Amino acid sequence: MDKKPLLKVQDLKTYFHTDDGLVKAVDGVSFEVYPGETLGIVGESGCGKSVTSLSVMRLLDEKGEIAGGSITFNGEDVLAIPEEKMMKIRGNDMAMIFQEPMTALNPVFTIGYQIIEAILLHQKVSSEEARAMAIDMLRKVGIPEPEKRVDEYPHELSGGMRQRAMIAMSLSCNPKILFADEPTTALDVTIQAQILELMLSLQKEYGMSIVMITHDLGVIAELAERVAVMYAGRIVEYADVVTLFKKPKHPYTWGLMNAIPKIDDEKEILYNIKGVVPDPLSFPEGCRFNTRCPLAKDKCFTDVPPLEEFEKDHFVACFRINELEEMIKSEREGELSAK
Amino acid sequence: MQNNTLLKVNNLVKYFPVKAGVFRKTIAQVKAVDDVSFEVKKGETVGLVGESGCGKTTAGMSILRLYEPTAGQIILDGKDTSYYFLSRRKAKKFLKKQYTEKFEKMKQKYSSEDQVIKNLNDEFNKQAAKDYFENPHKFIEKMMDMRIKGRSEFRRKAQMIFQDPYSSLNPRHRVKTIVGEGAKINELVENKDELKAMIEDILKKVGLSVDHMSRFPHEFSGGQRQRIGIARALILKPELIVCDEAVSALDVSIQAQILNLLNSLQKEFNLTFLFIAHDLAVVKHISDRVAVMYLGKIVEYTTKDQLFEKPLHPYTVALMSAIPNPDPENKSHRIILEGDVPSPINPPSGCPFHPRCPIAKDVCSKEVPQFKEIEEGHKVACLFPGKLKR
Amino acid sequence: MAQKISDFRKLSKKFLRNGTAILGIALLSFFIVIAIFAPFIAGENGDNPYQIPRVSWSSKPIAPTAEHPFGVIGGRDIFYGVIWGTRTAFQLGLIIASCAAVIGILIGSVSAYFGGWVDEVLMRIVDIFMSIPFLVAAIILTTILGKGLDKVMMALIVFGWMSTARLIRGNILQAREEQYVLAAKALGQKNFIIIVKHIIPNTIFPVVVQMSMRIGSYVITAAGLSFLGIGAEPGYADWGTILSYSRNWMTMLDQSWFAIVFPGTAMVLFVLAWNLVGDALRDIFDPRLRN
Repeated sequence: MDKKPLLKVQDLKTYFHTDDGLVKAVDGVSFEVYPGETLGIVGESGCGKSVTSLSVMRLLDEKGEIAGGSITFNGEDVLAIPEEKMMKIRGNDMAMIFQEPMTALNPVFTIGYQIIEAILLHQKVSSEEARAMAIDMLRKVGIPEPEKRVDEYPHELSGGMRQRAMIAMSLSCNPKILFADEPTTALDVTIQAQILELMLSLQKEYGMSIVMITHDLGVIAELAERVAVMYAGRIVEYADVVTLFKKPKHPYTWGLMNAIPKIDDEKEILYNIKGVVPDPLSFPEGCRFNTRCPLAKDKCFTDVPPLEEFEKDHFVACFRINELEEMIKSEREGELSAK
Repeated sequence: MQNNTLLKVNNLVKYFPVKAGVFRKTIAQVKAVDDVSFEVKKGETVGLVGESGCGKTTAGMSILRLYEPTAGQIILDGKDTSYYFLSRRKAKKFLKKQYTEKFEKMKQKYSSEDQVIKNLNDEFNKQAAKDYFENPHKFIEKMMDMRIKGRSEFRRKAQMIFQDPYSSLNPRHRVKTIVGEGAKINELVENKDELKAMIEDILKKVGLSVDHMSRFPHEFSGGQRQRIGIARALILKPELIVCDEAVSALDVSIQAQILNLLNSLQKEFNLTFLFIAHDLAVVKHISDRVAVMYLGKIVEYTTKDQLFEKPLHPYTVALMSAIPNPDPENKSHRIILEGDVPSPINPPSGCPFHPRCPIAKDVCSKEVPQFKEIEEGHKVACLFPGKLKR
Repeated sequence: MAQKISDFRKLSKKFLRNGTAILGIALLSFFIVIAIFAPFIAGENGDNPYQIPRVSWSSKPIAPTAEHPFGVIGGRDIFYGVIWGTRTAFQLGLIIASCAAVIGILIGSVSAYFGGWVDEVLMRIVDIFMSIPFLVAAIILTTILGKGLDKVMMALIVFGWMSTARLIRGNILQAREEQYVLAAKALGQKNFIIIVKHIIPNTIFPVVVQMSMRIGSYVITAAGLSFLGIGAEPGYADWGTILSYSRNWMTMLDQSWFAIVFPGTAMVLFVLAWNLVGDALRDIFDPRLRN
């Protein structure tokens, strides 16, 4: 890709000072988002995927601190922007939608009021125009009878409708980039399908970039063009979606892909990534996956594997890429013998 | 007599009253489970799948009598357990209605006892009618005698694994107390040493170590907590385990661990699972047969292979197509359902799915489709089964 | 066992790092010490130590001197009154809070357990009690029952149990929905045991926290009643009683400030101590903080 990235995050480090000690929630994460594309960030809970997006939006709470790295958005150094200007950028150029729209929408105001408020804050229009824009936006996100719904309160809408309203609000100012943090996790499958479809069509219409943060590999495969897999605060693999799903090179990515039951594939035993995610207060030395990795030895316990280009545009952070084939083979044999 | 069937649910109904006003008057009914029937064979796993609010969890809870069902028959291991947890008066009333009145009415209709027996459709009730006509009084008396004793037997045989690995364990109890509680209540052990040995044994079976015994739940991760929940159910050596969204709160890699554990435990203890979940892929992975629920009713029930190869109900088809497929080169062609699930307080007339159904016709809003066998072992409640293609 | 110790250590570490908690504990310990050693600090008045000795027959306030470090008002030694008043404050606070808590827990749990019309009736009674302005009710009750600290306590108990009842009822209703209660039911546990083993331990702690928070406020209210002259008998070693002596000298604060400042300070610190301890207890009992 020769295009200039819209967002470039380099060696981002976000630390939290908790009562129990320092949590290195994000520790050296680098990625780019190009205009109009969808980047998926996938990982299990606690891997730092949400913190990454909050860091880029500069929405960390007082315990969190960006301890290093750089964030360049639209040619500007995000970390150097004064807070007042940042408030303008948020909502205008960067927008975010959350897993539970109920917590992100204010329960005492109508959804219309909240969208209008956002429009008035960032655009020079009259309140009548803003209201018309809000109704238009609600119609675009597929809310039936938007003229009526605009005056309803968040609790009067169903979960799916609320998420639509949230999307309408975040897109009302035509942002360049949309961070979607598990936007469909709390929804039913049929409603999730509606929302994903909506996001795709809106992206086509508005041409914004989407950073899709989720634990669901299915959602990633449907929506993302490029994917970063995160584990324990670091990106372990970074590639375009087809390469990642067809030829995963990091043992964690491979394990994840084979741990999920699939609808079109029969398997008696799911691949077992043994153990649990390490405690964020005391991540292991070296590769952070080393406590669960069947390939880990020597260097894995002492040195941090760098995220290196394995093939063109396919980055992997693993010392033992070459042994992965053997691991897969022995796992397959293990499965066969278990049967 | 029906050696193969472990659990048989006949016409299960659970309504929750909606109360309002000073006098707590019932103003409406939430029809959470509305006439559900199915059976589970020994050693198999039946998946109960549906979206939130479809009544799958309520069905599971009602079967285990954590909610008292509004109506219906729950037969476990060849015994009608429906009245076990009712008060004496209510149990008598239940038996009178379920057996005495029903059989007497049928007797008048068919005019002979043999005809009644012939016309009953399930094995259990046939046998019951036989026993009843032999000596009606003794039949009821015998059933009533079983009530109290039946309770603890039922609890031992049927257990549950809960969804939330956080709220399902008492935060103030240690693992040994949590796991040992069932063994103590049901007097499976005679002394403390035996109990300890039993807990140790079961902890090892679910993949925890003996030094975890004295810890509190908050010291464990979600997956480990779910293992503790499994151990708590398993210590009673149950035959049926109802798994209510047992893996949906867990991370992907942990979910796989728990699913594999359930699989291997099933083989080791010959367990029967009723696996309640919203994730069709998980249900497909673990189940032998699958029941799809929508708005309090089962709309399709068949073997896993049949269901996934040839789904007949349009809701099942849409549900399958809605699942994001983790394969970027093979993006699923989606059938997007319009709108939301209607409220179970006021379900639509006719077929409950018709407002969202892509192939609904006028008749669908008037006629309630019968839940009937369309092919061998494939039951569907739809007027136009198999008409919606992927 | 080792686990328990480390748990305790983690908690105490957290607790000690919390400055306000330490301040609360220190203040409370200070008051406890004073209450225990009252006879040694301020001496003991012969046959009835709770009666402040009369040191002068004039009602005029006497400014602090070496002999009467907090001064004298109404002929009574304020220092003696403040020191022995600490004992009174503890008695008042602890007795009222624990009695109100017991009644509240009883009524709240009966209400939650039986539900239906029992719940409805009990909660309406709670509403009725709550709708009567507390101070008015206490004044009427003490006028009916007569003067004296025991009567004040009774009045405060009668009108002090409602919030506990509501709290415990709400907590039980919430705990009843917890999955571990369902799990115990699924194991075949008896209802009564479920309440004792699963519900009560998970609902009682907020009540304890609330109790400690309210001890201070009870003492203030009792002092208020004494100040109005419907509390303790004149001359009783009670902070409110000393304050009530200053009533007549309100316009001459330059001559009577010590009758307000010393018992007043004691009261403020006493309330503060219990509030801080209550806060700290809440942190300790919250299981989420142990994660």
